[in-house]
This record gives sequence, C-alpha cells and structure tokens, in this order.
Amino acid sequence: MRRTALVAILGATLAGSAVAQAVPDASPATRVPAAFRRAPQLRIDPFRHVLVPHWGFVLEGGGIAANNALNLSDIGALILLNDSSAMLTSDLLNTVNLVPAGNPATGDGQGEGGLYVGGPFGEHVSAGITLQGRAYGSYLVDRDAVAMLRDGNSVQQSFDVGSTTGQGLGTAELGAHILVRLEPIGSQDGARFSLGFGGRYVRPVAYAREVTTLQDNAPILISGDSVAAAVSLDAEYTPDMTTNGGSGFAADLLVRVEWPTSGLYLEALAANLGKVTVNDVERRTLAFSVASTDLSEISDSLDAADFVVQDTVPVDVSLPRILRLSAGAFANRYLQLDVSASLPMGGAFDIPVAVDIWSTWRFTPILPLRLGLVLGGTGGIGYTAGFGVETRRFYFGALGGSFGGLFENAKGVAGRFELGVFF
Amino acid sequence: MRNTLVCLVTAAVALTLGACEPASLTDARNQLGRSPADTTRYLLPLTRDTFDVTDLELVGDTIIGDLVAVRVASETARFPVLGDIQIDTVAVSALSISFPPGVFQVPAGTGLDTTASYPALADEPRLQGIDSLRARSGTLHLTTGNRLVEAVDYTVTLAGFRSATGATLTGSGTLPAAPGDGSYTTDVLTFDLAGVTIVPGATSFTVTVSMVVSGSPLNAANAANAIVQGGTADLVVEWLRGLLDPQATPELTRAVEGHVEIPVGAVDALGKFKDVIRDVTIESAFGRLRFQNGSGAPVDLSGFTLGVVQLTPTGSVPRDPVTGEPVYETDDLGSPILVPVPGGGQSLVVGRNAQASVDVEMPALVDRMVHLLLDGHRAAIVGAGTATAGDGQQSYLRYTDSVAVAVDAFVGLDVTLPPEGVDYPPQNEINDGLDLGPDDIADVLDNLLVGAYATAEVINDTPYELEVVIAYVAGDAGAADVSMLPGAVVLAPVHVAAPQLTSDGRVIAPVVDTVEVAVAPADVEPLLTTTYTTTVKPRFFAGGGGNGRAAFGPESRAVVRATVVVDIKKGGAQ
Repeated sequence: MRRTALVAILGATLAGSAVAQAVPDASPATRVPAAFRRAPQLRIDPFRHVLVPHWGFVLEGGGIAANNALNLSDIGALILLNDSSAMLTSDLLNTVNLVPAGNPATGDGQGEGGLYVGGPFGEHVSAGITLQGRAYGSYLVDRDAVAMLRDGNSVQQSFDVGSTTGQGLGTAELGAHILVRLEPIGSQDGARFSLGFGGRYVRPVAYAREVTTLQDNAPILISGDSVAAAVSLDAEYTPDMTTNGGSGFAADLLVRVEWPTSGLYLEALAANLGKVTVNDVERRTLAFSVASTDLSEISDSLDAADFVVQDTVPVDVSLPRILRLSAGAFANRYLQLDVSASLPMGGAFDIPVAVDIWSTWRFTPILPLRLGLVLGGTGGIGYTAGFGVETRRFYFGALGGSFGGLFENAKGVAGRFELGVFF
Repeated sequence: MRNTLVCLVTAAVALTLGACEPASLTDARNQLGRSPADTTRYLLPLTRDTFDVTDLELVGDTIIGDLVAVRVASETARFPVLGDIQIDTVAVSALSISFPPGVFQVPAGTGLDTTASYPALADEPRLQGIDSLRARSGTLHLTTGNRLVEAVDYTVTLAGFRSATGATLTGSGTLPAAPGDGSYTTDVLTFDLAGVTIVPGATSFTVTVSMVVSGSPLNAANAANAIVQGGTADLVVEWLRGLLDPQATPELTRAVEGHVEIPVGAVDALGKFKDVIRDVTIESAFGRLRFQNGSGAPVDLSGFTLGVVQLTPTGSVPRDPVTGEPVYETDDLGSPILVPVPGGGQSLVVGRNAQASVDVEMPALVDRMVHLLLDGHRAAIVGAGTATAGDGQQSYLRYTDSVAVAVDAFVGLDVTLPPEGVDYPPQNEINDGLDLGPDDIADVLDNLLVGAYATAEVINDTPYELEVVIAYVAGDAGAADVSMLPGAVVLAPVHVAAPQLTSDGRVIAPVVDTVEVAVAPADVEPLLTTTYTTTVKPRFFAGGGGNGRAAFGPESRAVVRATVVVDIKKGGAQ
C-alpha cells in the first residue's frame, strides 16, 4: 500500500512536465469525458465511479442472473401452473427436458445496490467511498442427477450427484477506492496510465450453502429392480439474517492505459480478492442411505432421514474472484467499441467466462446509446442495450440485458441503473 | 435499505415474469413442452423375487449331503427287552424214595421217618446260566406220590427258593394210603412264586416223610420207589442275573414290536412345501434311529424293520385277522413298505447300557407317511423284529428294561413331479408406486405414454423348468393372490427352461433367460399409484435331465426380476 502511494505521488509529480504532449482536437475521444469513455458493465465494477474526476455521489443498483434451461416464459408457465395447482408430471418432465442434453442444470446471479461518494484530490488522484449491499448466488445440479429424470434409466442406471450445490451470500460492504492517473507517458499523444486499488470491508448478512455428496463415492444405482444410494446433503446456513455475523475484506485492483487520440484503452481489473468469515453458521447433515430390492424400503428410508445439526461454526467464504480484461476504442466520432472478458478466478459462486461486447453510439456526446452482445456466461448469447445521460453535473445510465434469447425467451436477465450528481 | 432493495428486486422480477406468464394452462404446458419431441425410456421396477427354500418356511430344516431336508418326525418308541418274559414248564427233577424191604417188618404201629434231598432244577437247562432270578408271578406245583398202604406225612423244604422276606419256602402234606397194588396216591403242593427269589444253582428240595408202619405185607412189593416227587413251575420273571446265554435260555430271545404315532402336526414342519408335496413323490427321505439300551444286558436286534400303518380311529395298529401282523401300508405293487434296520441282512447289537445309531433311507415309507398325514389320517411307524438279550457274559435284566428307539424322519426336498407340474408358494410384494395423483395418472396415460412392455429376467438355479406368472394390482392386497382380484393386470406367463441336471437331479449350471411380455398402456396405471401389490407365482415342471426327479439343494433358487419399461413422450408441443 505504501509503495503504491509512493508511485502515485511520483506519477503526479512527473505528470506536470509532460502535459505538453498534444492530443488532436479532432480526436473523437476528446468529445467524451474520460470518465465516461470506460465501457459500461452489467457486472461488478468497483472502480466504476471513482474514475469520475468530480466530486459527487452516485446511486446505483443492478443485477445479473441466468440459467441454462428455463426462459422467462418457462418460469412464467411454471408459476401459473403452480399457482393453479395444475402441475403435472408431464410438466416436470418437460421442464427437466429443457436442460441441454449432457449438461448440468446451472444458474447464477449477482446483485448489488448502493451509494458512492467521492471526488478528485488534485488532478491525478481520485478517491471514493461506497456503501453497498451485494448478493451472490449460484446452483448446479450435476448432469448425472439431471439425467436421472431427463434421459431415463434404461441406458444409464448409475448416477453421480457430482458437485450438486446451491449457495448464496448476502453482504453489506463499505469500500474505499483510489485511482491514480499517471499521465502522460511516452507516446505521441501522451498515453494515460491509471492505477486503481481499493478495499472493501465486508459484513455478511446471510449465508446458505448446500452440497450433495455421495457417501464413499458410491454412485446412485437405479435399475429396474433395485435402488442403491448413499447420499449426504450437507447444509450450512445462518439461521437469521444479521450483520453481526462476521466480517471480511476484499481487495480490488485496476490497471488501465489509454491513448486519448484514438480512445484506445487496455484495462485489467481484479476484483473480490478476499474472503469473508461468516459466524454462527449452523451445519447440518442429512444422510440418506438405502440399498434394497424392496422399493418400499426407499420411501421408508427417506421418511426416516432428517437433518441432524452437527455444530455451529464460523465459515470462511471466498468471494467470487474476477479477472476482467477489457479493451476499447473509437471506430469513428460516433461509435465506440468495447470488449471485455470476465474470467472467474476461483472462490465460491463460480461464474463461467463471459465476454461482453459493447457498441456505444454518441450522435450527441452526452446522450450515448449502447448496444451489445454477451458471449459465454450461463444463459447463452445475450443481447444488451442501454442509454445514458452523461454531463458534467449529472449522470444517468440504464442498461439491460437479455441472455439466451430476447425478452420472454431470455434465460437470463440483467439490469443496471446509475444516477449521479457531480459538483 | 435492505428491505427497499428486496422490494425493488421482487417488484422487478414480478413485473418481468408477470409479463411472461402464459394466458392459459394449455399455453403454459405448451411452453414447457417447447423442446423438440423426444422419447425417454424409464424402467419401473415391478417386482424382484427370489424363490428358494426359505420361501417354504421349513421348520428345522437341515442339510444332508447336498440336499435340503426337513425333520418331520422325532418320536421315540420303546421295546421291552424282557417284558413279561415267561419261563414256562420249568421241570422239577424227579425224586424217588425207596425203602429196604425189611424196613416194614416191624411191629405194626412202629413209626418210620426218612429224609431225602435232590437238586430240583438240575434238569432245567434254561435256568442253568442264571445265577438268580425273581419271579413277578408264577406257581410251582409239586406232586408227591405214595404207593405204600400207609398214609404218609411229608414236608418239603425248597432250598434256593426264598420268599420276599427271605424265608426258604416250605410245604407239607399228607399222602393217603395206597391200595398196595402198586398204584400211587398223590398230593399236590402249590407254591406261589410271586416275589420269590430263585437261585437255580443252589436249589435243593428236601423231603421228609413220616408214617406209622401198619405191618401190611403189601409194602414189601412197593418199597422201591415208594415215594416219588416231581413238579413243574411257570413263572414270570421280574429280574434275572447271571451269565445269560440265549442259547441255553431261549426265552431271552423274543419278538418285539412297538409303534409310535406320528402327530398330524408333524408335517407342519414342511411349511409351504406341505402344499407342494401333495402332488409329488418324495424320492429322498432318511430315518435316523437312535437305540438306547437301558438294560444290563446286550441286546441283539435282528430282523428289525420299520413300517408305516394307518392307525384305526381309536389309535390302534390294524392287524391281519389271520396272522395278527400289523397291516402295513403298501407300495404301488402291493408289497408292504418295510425298511430293514440296519439293513443288508445285518443285525444290530446294542451293548448293555449303551447307544447305537443307524441311518436308513426310507423314501417310500416317509412318502406314504407324509401323504397319510396330509390326508388327515392317523399314522404310526411300527418297529418290529427279534430282540435277543444276553451274550453269555454276566448280565442283569429287569422286566422294566427296554430298548428305546428314537426315530427322526427327514424328508429330503428331492421329489418327482407330476407331468402337470406343481405350484410353488406364490410371493406377494407390496411396493411403493410413483404416487401420482389422478390428474397425473390421466396425464401419463393419455398424453405421455408412448408404449410399454415388461421384461422378466429369470435366473433359474432350480432343477426344474419354470413357469412364472406375474400379476399386479393397485393398492395393498396383502397376501391375497393378486391374479384373482378384479382390476389385476396378469402378464403372460414366462417360461424358463430347466438347467441341465445330473442323473440324480442336481443342477449343473443355472439358466438365465430374459423374456419380454407385452403390456398394454393402461396396465401401467397401477405402477403410478401410491402402492401396488405384485404376486409372482412359479410353477415347477420336471426338467428333462432327471427323469422327472429333481432335488432342492441349499443353493437352489429362482430369481425373478420384472421391470416395466415405459416410453415417455417429452417436448414437441411447439
């Protein structure tokens, strides 16, 4: 931390002697304030607002969630059938059949909302504080477990529950982020190099996790005349939502270099480097074991199975670490193209690799229109759109996304709004 | 803050999903069925049954050789060794007292006394090997004759015969005067031998006579053999002791016969095999006979046979009115079913106070006995033969001594089946179905079910050809034969060939066969309910390798696995 601060101070000192390097007035990038030239994100972006070189505050909220099987119409249909008490076996089988063949059933989501307050300290340093609530969740039903219903038991009679998991974490966070602009450096138009770092104090609010495992790694056997299964369901959860249940720390890092003339930038972001300790987590285990040719024993065993409280312990939960590599440039004075790849770097709530491609159209510099594509992720190819009002004093942004299809065919959705006032 | 966020998210989700909610249930179902049409095959377990000897609920079954056997009877008969052994016509040696002719030439009125002793039993060989015996009953008749013209008083002391109090038996009498022509007048003394101990080797009768001489000249001619004595005894022995030699004492060899009724409930040990056995012929049965000789003399059983009789309603052994022999049950040829023990023309010697055990094969006898019992008749096993006690060595026999014969009859599960086969006890299984509601069941049957069939895999490790009928019905039918219930689904019978057998009906290698049986779609319905009951009914037929005969070993079993295979339609709604 001390070394980073030293670099920032040195950079700020050196910058003063380099401002003579010229940026053409016709450069399209000059039409857009540097703070808004950064690609928008539907995903977690801790440095989103600290790049704004003005004092002010931003209210924001957003979320992204997707699964690989059901679209919104499917979910609506399930809700209707369930509310009408009209759910039939065929509906359930058809629902399971929507999971792509050979795949597990997966879903994940993240959401956040909060307030940012910050501003510049001099020309080269900006700092901000965020007060946010965040939630992470994911589930995965192993493909073998899905196959039991989806593909029947005529061909395959041995099933693995694999890493069937469901988990969720809600946090309240207080963060501080600093951005140091080291500019310009050795290029004709003076490339701007920015370095950001910050940390978040994280208080868990709620936590739950359930993992299904096979005892002794013995698969579930469902043949035409017998069933053998030894399954353990390990559950961890906080019985009550509380902010007194532990704490943690997460670090975020940003490295960005930008060439003002073309608006070309390269950026690397690492976020959520840390873990949180959740106190008072009750651990329970449900063990179900049956090996019988008398199928009536199976239901008897299930009836007898019940969760047994093991203990109450603190649990360390790694936050979903993200490495995001981004690049962007202006194609012309109206069109900015951005691409970013969000790579999971471990931790809980694994999210698959996703590539976000944005095109930002600025027929009027302060009124950007955004259209984009999402590749990868859980829901499949996604379509994103948004618009904004980006002025010196006022900022508003709205983004939306539809994954795996548009609107009612979407297997995932995302949305974000940002409302900022700067002084 | 948190609540606000939750509300916002909930509202957004509700708004989004609300906009996507189909207009009708049909639309909703079509929506979920939007995937391409596909068919998935599920295996629904119908039943899995293993038929082996445990299903027969045998009681006290055991393994004899490689055969499962059941002890159907364990009864004990007793054969008295001595019993009411009777020694008849024991000959008392003859006594003859002669007077010198001159002894009578004394004045009339002169008294004359004389005494003579003789070994009274010296001429009875049957008693020579006996040191002593006690009579339970019996009499000794001593006849004394006199051909003198004077009346004679006499006293007899039976040394070697002691009463229960230890006193030597004595008797006295008076012989009337004879006419003098050489004929005898007689007098008979009768001794009750009940409780009398006789020591044959020490027996000596002493006769003392006294008279008053009359001076008749006729006595001179009758002086020789003037007084004679002889007698016989008949006695029933209470005990005897000595170097018992059956050769010398034929009474030690006697015919014995005993019977023991086999309770009707004995066949309950056959469990459900009792129902099977009515129609089959038992090919293997064993008798385990344990002889317990409680006497102090060895007993040689010869010509001993076991037979089975149908007792009269009063529980008596029926007898031939002419010969008095038991009326034994007969085989198909009309010959009495008799099992020689120990067989091979041998006799069986059971030592004094010793045991002997003999195993004999007696399938025909047990088969007949079991069928009598199954038909509700009273049946008994009759043992008969000759028992000879003693071996010339010191022995001791009491009339209460007996040889007890414990008969354990084992039925081997080795039978000959009739051509039409026999039913094996059916098995019911109560299974949990898929527990679908009425709407779901209708949905499956009307919309989802593309086709169905049943597979039955049968592992036949029995020596028989199998026919298996599988039936099932919705609900818990308990132990009832499901195939007889209304609404039951009865699958076409599954036939499985018999394994190859050895000449005596043992399985060489099991047969595994899988048979597909058509199932109508509507027949799947019971499996979709909460509970369904299956009945699996095997019927055994004789295989080709054992000439109709086959045996159940401990590993004999038939495993029936039945599965209903259903093809379920999915997707294809849009």
